[in-house]
Amino acid sequence: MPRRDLFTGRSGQLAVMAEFLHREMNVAIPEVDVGDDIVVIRDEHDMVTRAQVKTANAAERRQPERFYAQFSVPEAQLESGPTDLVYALVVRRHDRWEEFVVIRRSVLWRLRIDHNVGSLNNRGKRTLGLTFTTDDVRNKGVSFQPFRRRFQPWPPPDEIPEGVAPPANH
Amino acid sequence: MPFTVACKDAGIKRHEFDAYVRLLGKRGIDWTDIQRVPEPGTQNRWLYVWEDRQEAGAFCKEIQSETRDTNWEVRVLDPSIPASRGPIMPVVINVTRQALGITAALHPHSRTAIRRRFPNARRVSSVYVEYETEAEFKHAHGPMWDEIALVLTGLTADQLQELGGYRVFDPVAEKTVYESMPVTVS
Repeated sequence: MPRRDLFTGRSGQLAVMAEFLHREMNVAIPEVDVGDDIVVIRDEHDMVTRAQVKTANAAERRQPERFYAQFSVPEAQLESGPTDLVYALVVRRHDRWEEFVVIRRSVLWRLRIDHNVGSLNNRGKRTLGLTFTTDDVRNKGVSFQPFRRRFQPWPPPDEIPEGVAPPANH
Repeated sequence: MPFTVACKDAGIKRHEFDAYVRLLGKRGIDWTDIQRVPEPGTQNRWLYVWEDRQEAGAFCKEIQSETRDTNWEVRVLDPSIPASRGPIMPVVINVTRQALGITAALHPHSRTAIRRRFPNARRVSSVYVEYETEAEFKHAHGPMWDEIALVLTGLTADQLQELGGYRVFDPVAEKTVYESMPVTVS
């Protein structure tokens, strides 16, 4: 991995950790990186969950306050990864970590099956391009707005919140 | 004259079948209760029977585009193949091995099917079963899967049968671990 990507990735990971700490949830980084970037510990419930951080740089669009960011996740992990795994998709914009989309793996998998969000590349990864505006985040007609900065409740419930998908097919 | 839309290769690939089901839903077809024929080369999986060739053709084009596979085609249904009524597939339970056991969870299409047909079912998100030894998983038997299926779906045994029974599938190993008896509702 290029040096720049390593630094960006760790920087995004620390930004997500800061968000958890600010909400009084403890965090840790596994000693060996096996794909779970962060372990989140809620002492009061004796609950340990995992979060995987994906970072992207914002690409500005012509319209004001509209930008795009693209993430990629392994399709196999999306389908059969741990039930409690949560993705934290973080966007670098205006020289800071500006946007956080927090979505449970199982929920993203359901959106992939039900609405075909993202697209599969030839390396077995699903790329998810998100278009951000002030009051919405979208991919293929599906709104990710309910997952914006969704650090609470933690862990996120295994349900698709209202307002995500067009009602006909959901 | 009835038609089906199928792939030239026998047995539609798993992810393509997911797209097939989703695109039926997008057209407002309730795939939990359709006129259907068995999908050639598979067990307990079905194809929707189209009455109109144009509609079948439009669907075929859409799925070709979606799956980037031009092997999809419209076929005239062989009159010797009897159509039946029922769901397009059984309830699918995906299992993944984790730590000392397995986690079982419903396939997204199966969640949709249950919500649509039995909106009051009190299903759960996943079921984790811990084993003492790896061998126990290999020898997991029907009655145990029955229990897991009932807890996971929140359905009664009869309701589960109404949805075509269930299949336990390991997506990592790409194989069916267990299949309850297929049920044909005519």
